[in-house]
Amino acid sequence: MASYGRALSALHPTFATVFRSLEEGLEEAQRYHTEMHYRRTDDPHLFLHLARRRACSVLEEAGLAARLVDDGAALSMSGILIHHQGFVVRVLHAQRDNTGHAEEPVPGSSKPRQDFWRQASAIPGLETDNLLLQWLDREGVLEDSMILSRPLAGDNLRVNLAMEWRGKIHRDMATLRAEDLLDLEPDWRAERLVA
Amino acid sequence: MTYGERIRQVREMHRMTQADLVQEVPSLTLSRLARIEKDLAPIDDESLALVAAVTGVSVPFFARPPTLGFSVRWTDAEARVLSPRMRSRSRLTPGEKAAALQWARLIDEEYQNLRAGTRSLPVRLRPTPGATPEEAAAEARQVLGFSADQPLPYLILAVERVGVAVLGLPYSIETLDAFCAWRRGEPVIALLGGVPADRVRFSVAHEIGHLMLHQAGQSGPEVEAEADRFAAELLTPLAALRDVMPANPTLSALVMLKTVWGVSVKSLVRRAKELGAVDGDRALSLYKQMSTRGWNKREPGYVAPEKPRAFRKMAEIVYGPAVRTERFARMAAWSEGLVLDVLAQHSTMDELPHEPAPTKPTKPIEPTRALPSNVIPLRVG
Repeated sequence: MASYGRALSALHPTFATVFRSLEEGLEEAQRYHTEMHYRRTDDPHLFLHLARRRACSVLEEAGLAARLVDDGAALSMSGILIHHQGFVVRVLHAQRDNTGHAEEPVPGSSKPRQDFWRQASAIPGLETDNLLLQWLDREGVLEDSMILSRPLAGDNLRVNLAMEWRGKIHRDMATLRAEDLLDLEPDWRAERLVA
Repeated sequence: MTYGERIRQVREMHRMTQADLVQEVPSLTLSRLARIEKDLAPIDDESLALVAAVTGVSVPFFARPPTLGFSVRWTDAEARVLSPRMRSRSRLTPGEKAAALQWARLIDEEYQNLRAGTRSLPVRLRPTPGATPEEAAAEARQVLGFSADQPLPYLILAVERVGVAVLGLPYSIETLDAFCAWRRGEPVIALLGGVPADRVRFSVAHEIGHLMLHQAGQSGPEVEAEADRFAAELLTPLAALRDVMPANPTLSALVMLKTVWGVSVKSLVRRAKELGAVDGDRALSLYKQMSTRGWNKREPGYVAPEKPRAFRKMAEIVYGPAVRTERFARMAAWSEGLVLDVLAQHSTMDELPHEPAPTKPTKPIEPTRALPSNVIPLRVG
């Protein structure tokens, strides 16, 4: 069970590449839509799918173990999975709530997603720490901070969502040393029973 | 005085034949260059300046008495180079080998010059004659300061700390990753550029194996196999790997293990076979899957790149924290471009590896903010 700081420290080498990959993905999706005279609002899933597909290629080119979650599906909707140092990170585009903030993602009724949320091993035979990395864009421009969180449980009801901690990842963190991130505190973490 | 040996050195560094150099320096003829290199004829200033410009050094370099260093001529070598780590020994041409050794010689000379102005670390790496590769690997882990079962967070820095001189060469060829030598009781490892991070680690471990297990001049497939066994055991001790290797590992599991242990997936398949986690057929199937996915050329799974540090550190001590390259170039009789190229093969402070802190035991924590919790508070009393 990894703390926020430990997760940041372990994932540190991937930060710059993840930011770059999503930027390139958004750029690619925007270029395609412009060339085809498409509006993003007409088919938001296509826009994000294109962005994800390009981002995944960039991550792979940079040597990271990354793949689209529903690899093989006609239109992969579930994000990108990154495997690194015992962590399996699901990179998701965040939805905004009424106040404009990122909504915490629920796994829905999908059994594999629910398993991921409740920290079941994402790789057969290996213990994994499953994390969610949410990114946001505004008018096709990637926002500076992403949100890293550790889910504990969830289904299709928001009330059943359980998280352990949640904190930001800033682009600047890539320029810091990994050990400097170890002691960072998350923005929020769940209360625990004290013996 | 100009030393012909120095001209030969820079020519070989750049894998130029005498004819190639003559083409670049029209004032020379082939026969004259041959005589100059044997110190049988002088060279004029203009030609020498041109040779310097072509090969990335400055004219005073040619007036430096040559050292025997990493000589290609094995009999008079001050440091006999142990069997170099090669991806494909048969394809390594004499020219490529000579170039690698001459680059190492050039950088090693400057390494020693820099060290004269600093304090060197005592050599703690010792040969272990008669030990098996596995025993030697266990001892190496102890000497390097790692426990018997932890993944090595870094290797090159640890190796430098036990007194091994690690040289980064700004030279890259398909057929050679690294090589090593004992030089007057001091171990030296030379690393070529352009090698993927996981293979750099394996190559360094392999060379440590040679340094600990083998005598100068020993070579052959058995010697290479022993160094490979040493490297595998140093990076992925079987006893430790047994605890983390899944019963029937998939490629995804092996890629994840790669990011933790810093070795290639192929190497992990071999270890899985040694552990009995996969049989021969399954290993073959995994190799085929890797080939189908194009992993023979590029494997997924990030391994932090490692570079040697000591050379740059000493340059920072001698030429200031930002390294005054102009001054460095003048003192070394190199071009400034060459200084920059060589420094780029050595780690800056910011590029130093990070040792992950051990996972701390979970402690009860206070809530940081009054946000909805997923735990119902326990009311006592």
